Amino acid sequence: MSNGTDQLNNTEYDYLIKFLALGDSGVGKTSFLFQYTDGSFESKFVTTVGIDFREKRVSYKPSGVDSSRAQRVHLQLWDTAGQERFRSLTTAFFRDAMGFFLFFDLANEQSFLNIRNWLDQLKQHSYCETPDIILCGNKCDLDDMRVVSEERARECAETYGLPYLETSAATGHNVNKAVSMLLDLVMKRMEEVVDKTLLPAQYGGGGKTELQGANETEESKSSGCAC
Amino acid sequence: MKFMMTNRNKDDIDSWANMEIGFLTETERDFIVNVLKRDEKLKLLEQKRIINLKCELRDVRRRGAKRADLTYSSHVCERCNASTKHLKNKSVRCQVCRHKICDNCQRSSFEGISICIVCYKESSIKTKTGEWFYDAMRAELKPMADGCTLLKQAVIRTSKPNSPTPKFHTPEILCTQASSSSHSSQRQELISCGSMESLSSSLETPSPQKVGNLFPETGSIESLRSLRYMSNRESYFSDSDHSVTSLPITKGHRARTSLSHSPQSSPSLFDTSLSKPEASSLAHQSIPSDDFSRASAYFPDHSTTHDNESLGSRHKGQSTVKKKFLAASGKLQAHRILSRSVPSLVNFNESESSQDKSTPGSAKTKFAKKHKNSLSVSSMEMFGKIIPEEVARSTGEIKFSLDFEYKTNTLVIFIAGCRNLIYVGKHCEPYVKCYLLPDRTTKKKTSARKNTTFPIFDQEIKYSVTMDELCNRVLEMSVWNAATFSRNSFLGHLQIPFNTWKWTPQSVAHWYPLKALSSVNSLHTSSTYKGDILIAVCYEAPKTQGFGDVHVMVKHAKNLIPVLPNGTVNAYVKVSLLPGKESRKKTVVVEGGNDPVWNVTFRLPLNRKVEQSGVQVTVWHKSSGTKPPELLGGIRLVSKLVAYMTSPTAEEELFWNQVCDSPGLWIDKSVGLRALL
Repeated sequence: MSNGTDQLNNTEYDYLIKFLALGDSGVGKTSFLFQYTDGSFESKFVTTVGIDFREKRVSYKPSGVDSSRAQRVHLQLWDTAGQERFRSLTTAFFRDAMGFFLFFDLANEQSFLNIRNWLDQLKQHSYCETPDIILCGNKCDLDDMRVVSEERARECAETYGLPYLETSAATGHNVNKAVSMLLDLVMKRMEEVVDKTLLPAQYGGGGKTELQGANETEESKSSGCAC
Repeated sequence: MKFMMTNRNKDDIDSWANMEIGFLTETERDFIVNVLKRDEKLKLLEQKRIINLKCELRDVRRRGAKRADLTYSSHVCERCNASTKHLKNKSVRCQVCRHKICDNCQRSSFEGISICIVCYKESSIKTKTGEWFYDAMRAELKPMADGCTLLKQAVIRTSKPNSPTPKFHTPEILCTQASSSSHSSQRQELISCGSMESLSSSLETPSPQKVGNLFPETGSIESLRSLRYMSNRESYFSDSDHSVTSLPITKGHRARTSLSHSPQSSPSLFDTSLSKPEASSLAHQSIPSDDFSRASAYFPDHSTTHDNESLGSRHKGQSTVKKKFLAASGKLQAHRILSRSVPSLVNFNESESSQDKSTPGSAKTKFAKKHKNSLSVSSMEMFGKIIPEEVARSTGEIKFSLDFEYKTNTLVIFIAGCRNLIYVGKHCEPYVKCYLLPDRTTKKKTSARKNTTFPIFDQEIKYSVTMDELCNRVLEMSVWNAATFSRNSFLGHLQIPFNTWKWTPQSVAHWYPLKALSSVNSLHTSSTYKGDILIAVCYEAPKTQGFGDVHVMVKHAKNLIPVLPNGTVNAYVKVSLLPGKESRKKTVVVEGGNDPVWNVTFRLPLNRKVEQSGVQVTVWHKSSGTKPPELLGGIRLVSKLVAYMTSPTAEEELFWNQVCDSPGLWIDKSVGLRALL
């Protein structure tokens, strides 16, 4: 890795945050992560074998709080194979990720349709029913080949209640933004969880647990989606 | 168009335990193994970091603990004992632990709720260690192994017997996932003792297919996890937050005692931890397992007080920290500590009256980093064998000389003094304590010097011992602070293995650095001669079916290291099949002497090909009373094929290959015992 392996080998960080990228084969998960960690892009398609990960150290400043010092975060970005044959292998890794990038290819209708399936997978295998996910429409630089319009993608993201970003692993568009967005969500979630376990009285019954329950019943009823 | 994915329900989750990766090609498998290895590297790093974090938490907890020797009026901060009478320093109640706290000890939670400094630290550690993630995880997922573990198992399963099995070195990181951050120490008790039980039960009924055998760490993690999960469900334990000592600990205590009933269980636990190849990979931070018994026994008088102390006024006592820490510092250490903590726990339950006086003069100490330096006894115990280098740094120096008088067979230790001792309290009253390890009855102390961190002792400590015997001993010198009203605290120590000591005719005292926790420890066990064992092994090829038998004749041992004060041992031998420690057999105990003779033959039915099995022979000292047996040394006869879980020496491997190559013949050999890492 070009961004200093030495730097990655010390314990000088405050948090280890694990993200996972998923989505159909060829939508650009590996390229996205490569762009994020190394800042470069390889147009040649190399399929990921099962599972891989990349690392990067970033500093995180919680939004809204000015006084606190920036937190040093070690990101472990898991890359999964989109191919069906690795499915049993990759889903096992869903459990340990704290946040997810769900990718589809803006130039590939099918990859967009499969979002629903990926979300089902996540719902089952991730650490909780409603994990933090960012929906990324990748390859937004390929304007002439685009088949999924931004409106359609946004609509879909709204149905699922996910933040949506159009990204490009080739140009680096929104790549950093997607990661920092997810990091923000996960750090917020982390604080919520800790406060909840620390102060059960203040939260008792309400808050997350109930929300999750509601989502569960709602989602289990809605079987098909228009997107 | 839309392809349907199989919807896994909760039952299917169980089937994950058998992840199939048979479809992978050789290159793909290698690629994945490589990814797993990289992940393990990161996990090791993370584990190191978490240990440091846990240390910080322990320090904050310790300083914030209510002290039984102080009275807490209504106008006093219950964390730092500062007066809150002044307008400047108004008191608030912590919304979590309900302690009354002053402004200084007040922090706000993420949601802006007032909490005390201890609870704040607790929550911050929870986020930093990743424990929050485990807390948030769905209950049905908690007992499951993570993707890496499952994949590792799958890789091992599918690897062909002849191809080199990829080695995974790193111990799993327990803290983030398995160690809890529960409010109650009970849960920890349950977890820790539970994992011990499950480990031992997995030892009773080992099966060759069991992953735990191939990857010892995996098994224990799973058991830890599942136990954590179970203990979550037994929520009535956690509800009784304020009666720490009552039910759960008794339960834990019972569990332990029941374990220690059978003489095998404790040593076998010990044994298992020894068999892990990871131990060697941890060598830079850990001290050989064999030494652990010593490390914990260095401070026999303190280990109990420590445990008692946690029963003091604070319900989130240090016992929690300790247990947490055990989980944190990797199961390897955890099991060792657990297996050794049996006797101290017996006392634990009985003397509840003891008090928390653990922080002499430190009530108002700022949370400076240097505090780390004054490692107390409990931290030594807590660390077990994993010591972050930063923590194990020097803590002053000691000046002494060693002399041996051949005429009288006397070892004379002249202790001149110490300098630059690091002590955070007000009045340091240092003294020096010596042991000739491994015999812990050899404790001798200097007198204490008042109010100084540069004490001059000018005292001689004499031991009557022969030079021969001395060569097998290690001089342990530790410096302690003699506190009048509280527990003595540990300031530093060093160890000198006599077998490598360069004696000079007229020795002059020199300065030697003291260590908070010594890595010197690791030196002597690996180099020390532990004696020899003479055994004969014969492989009997299968007649019709099965894999045949291995016959092991344990003849005698020579020059075992003395444990008892009279320089003898009560030795017995355990023989078991590798891998998995199956068909364990034991000889009788031969009391007295250092050259016990057994002449017993055991038949061990093989459960796999002889090349893929092995035999482990360990020699133990049976301690009197309730003390767990002590490992004197062992050998592992096994070939390189199964070396990913046990590492034989060249001598041992040669022996085993000879056995395999000549079925029906008795191979007779004297093999050097070793510490078995």
